[in-house]
Amino acid sequence: MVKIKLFGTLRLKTGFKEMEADISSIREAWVLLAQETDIPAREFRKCIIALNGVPCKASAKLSDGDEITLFSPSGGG
Amino acid sequence: MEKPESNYGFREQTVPVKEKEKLDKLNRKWFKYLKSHPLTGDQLPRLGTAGLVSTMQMRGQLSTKNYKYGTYEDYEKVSGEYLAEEYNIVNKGCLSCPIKCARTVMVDGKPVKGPELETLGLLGGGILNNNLEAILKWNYELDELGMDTISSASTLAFAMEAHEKGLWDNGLTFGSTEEISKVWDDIAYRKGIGDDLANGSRWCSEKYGGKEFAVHSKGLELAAYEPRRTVGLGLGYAVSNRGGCHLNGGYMVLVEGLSLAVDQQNPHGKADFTMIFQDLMEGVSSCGQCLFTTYAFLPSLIISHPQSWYTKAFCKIVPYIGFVLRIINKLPTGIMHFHIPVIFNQSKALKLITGMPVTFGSFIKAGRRGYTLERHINTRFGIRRKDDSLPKRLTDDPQIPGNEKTKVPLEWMKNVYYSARGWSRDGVPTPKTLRRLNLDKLDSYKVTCEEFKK
Repeated sequence: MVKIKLFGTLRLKTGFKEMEADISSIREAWVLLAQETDIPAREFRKCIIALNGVPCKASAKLSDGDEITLFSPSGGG
Repeated sequence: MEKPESNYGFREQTVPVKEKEKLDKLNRKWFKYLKSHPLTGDQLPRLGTAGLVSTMQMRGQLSTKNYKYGTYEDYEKVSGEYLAEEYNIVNKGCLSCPIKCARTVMVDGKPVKGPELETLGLLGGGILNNNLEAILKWNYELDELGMDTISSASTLAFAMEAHEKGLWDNGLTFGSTEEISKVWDDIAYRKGIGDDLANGSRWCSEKYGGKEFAVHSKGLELAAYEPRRTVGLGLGYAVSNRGGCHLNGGYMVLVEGLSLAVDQQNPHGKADFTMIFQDLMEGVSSCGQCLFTTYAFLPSLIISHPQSWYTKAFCKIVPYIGFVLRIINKLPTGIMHFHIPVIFNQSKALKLITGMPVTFGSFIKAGRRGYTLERHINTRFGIRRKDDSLPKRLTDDPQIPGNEKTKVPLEWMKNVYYSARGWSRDGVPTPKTLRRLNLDKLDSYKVTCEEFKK
């Protein structure tokens, strides 16, 4: 199982925080998130992705016990 | 009829505007652009600056345990998302602002101003505290006492570490947060350990020891961005005229992890970018505009598509185009006799309001003159290269053990920066630089530190 977490404005828009799912790629995570929320998958494609807390590419392979985190674009403070 | 007391003796007046119709038209377009931009139209209004906590955690930039680490395991409990979901009651902002980045939270049944990112970072991971409710309360207390949350939190974190290392028996420990409200009071009224803490971390480190982990530059404590994972901002903190200020330091972290993923550890090109960012921000601040409007300077196309090939390509080339910026910076600003439409409206707005012949070039020059003038004054008071410094923790100890890249290569970057600015190796603006910026005649107003004290 892979843990999926969502941060940033998309989290506030959708109310989605985290879930566990049996997936093997980030592409599957986008589709799953689109199903779980009313937001189309292309919006999740715009997110920055981290695998186990470290930024990664969208092509990264997932394995059991991994945690992926998606962040909407952020600015400064 | 007598004026009401609320006017404090000021007379009501309309600020004259040179070209009002054109300004109104520009403002409408500008507001529309700010509202459509992912940072100024979505992230800042929804989450405020607090929304950066989670991004900084991912980039290893969230100062934790007095800047010893760059990630905090309980970051979710002090994140902007958690604040928005559980505590924020309304978004507020300055009059007529389309961004409205301020948060309002309830403390003891009263609606009060919520914390910024710096407060969340430094009073959260900075002192190993995962109690967001306590941060809201301390933020309010510090505001009421008129104390800066960055300096207060960072000095507190230094005191905790000094206690942990046995240098200063002050009773403060990381993670123990019950007595903190009393510490703020003690600082404000200079009682007990508060009498020492009120002098800041530099003073305390000189008295008790621990200079290598007193995190300040020129006596001003740094913001929550851990500079070892954003080396451009590390340079900015060190050379900033105000001391360790992230905004006076050029705010390179914006492109080194927050909005774009430019290599955080690569020092190349960062000095030139720092210089131009500092000049731009100095110009924007000088004419009373909000710095957050400058975030829209980053095109929304690349911000909102971080996985696209063009965004990745842009991030890859940034460290290698420093020399192009160097050439542009050396050219007379007169050649930039234009405005940058849509993304940078500040210079045109200033022209329409005042009637002065402002262009993008003269706007940057005004910022550069301001920044150099500040430095010129600082050097008269004895500021030199040795003062543009960071504590050893940030320049000598890698954040990730064994990875030598995760520290700030400050001395190398300072050489490049001084050269870009036209300052000497010791950090003093050269007569040629002062002449180019029409600041050379100021020498007839020489005031030394000793004369000033008299």
